Amino acid sequence: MARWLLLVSLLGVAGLAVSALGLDRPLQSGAQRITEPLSALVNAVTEPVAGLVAGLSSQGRLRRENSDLLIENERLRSELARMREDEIRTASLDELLNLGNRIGSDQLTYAAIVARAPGPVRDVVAITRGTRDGVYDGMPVLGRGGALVGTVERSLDSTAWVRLITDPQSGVNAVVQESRAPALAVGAADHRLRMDYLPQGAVVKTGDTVVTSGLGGSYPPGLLVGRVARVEVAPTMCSSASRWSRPCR
Amino acid sequence: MILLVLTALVAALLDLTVFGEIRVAGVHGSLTAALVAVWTVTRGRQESMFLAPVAGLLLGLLGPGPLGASVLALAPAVLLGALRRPDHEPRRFPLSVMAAGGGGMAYVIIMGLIQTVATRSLPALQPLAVAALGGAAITAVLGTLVYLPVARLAPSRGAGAAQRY
Repeated sequence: MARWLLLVSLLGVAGLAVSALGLDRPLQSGAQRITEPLSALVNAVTEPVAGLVAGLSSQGRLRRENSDLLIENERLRSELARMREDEIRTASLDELLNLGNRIGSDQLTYAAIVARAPGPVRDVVAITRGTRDGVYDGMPVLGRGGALVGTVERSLDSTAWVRLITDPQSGVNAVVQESRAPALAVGAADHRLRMDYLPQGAVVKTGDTVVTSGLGGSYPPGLLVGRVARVEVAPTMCSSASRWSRPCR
Repeated sequence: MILLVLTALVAALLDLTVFGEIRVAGVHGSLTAALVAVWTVTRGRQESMFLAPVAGLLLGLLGPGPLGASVLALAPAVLLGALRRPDHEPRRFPLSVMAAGGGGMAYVIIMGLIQTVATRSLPALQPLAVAALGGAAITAVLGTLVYLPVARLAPSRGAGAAQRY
């Protein structure tokens, strides 16, 4: 046994020396060439088992990895949604900035809509600015693109209720930009705008732009009110015709 | 002798393919060490004294490790298997498994040390200890798998009365 141990040790050390000198490569290549058919057979037979064993042995790791990846996926989706919201907000702020540049930012107070009055008839919303921010009753309220959306109906300390132009109690002195036909844009029960008191013979077409006329002093002139969505001819004793105008929102 | 060479070859190929995938906590055992240990216990040391270096050389030629490393690493499996030849058949199984476990541990330690020396780095004792224990456990399990086929082979001419080596 001792002799055998010595022989094996010498053989092992000799093998290590051969490897260290790099002389084992041709031997390894030759051995692999010779055993290639048997190796291929063993591989073919054992591959499904090897795959199964590898799968079973890495199941725990894969399960953990899967769980980590699901959490990471959810985190990234939330981040993406937040970034999209930021993009939209940035675009809105850009629009507001442009609006400020056009009108004069010192004349504007920016606010967000935080509530809507319940009920089917009124069209009233609450904004995040009030008397503390210099918002008072009767002030016009513009949308993101600068279109007229309503008037401050009641201003409180830190909030204000805004009557939208589609509210049945709202009326805006307006003019059809293309034909210069004056009219009164009033809110209808279905939250659309109706243009009353158009002069007889006024030429109004679908798609025409309606803006504030500035008459009455409630609103500055030229603010976008909406576009004509439908034209109806309804003969009356006062020779007025009603036109439906789609409000800009 | 041809049987031994073929057995060594198949064991080496299986070790390098399917049994190389069996890992527990990142450590794997050695089918060849299990085979050598079980062969020594069931069929006597004479055959395994030829089987072990041949299997070690084949592992060195067909595998990625340095030539000669497996020859050294498989020697303890023969020594452990030859410590005591059991008189009775029922004792051979537990002795085979224990020899396989010990042979697997020795295999992992020797291979780890050789690879450490080859890469000129200091051995990390804790990972080596963990790998050795894990290797022992897995090789012992592999020993239970190879026991039956080896024990059912035709008895060796050297087998017979119990001997103490």
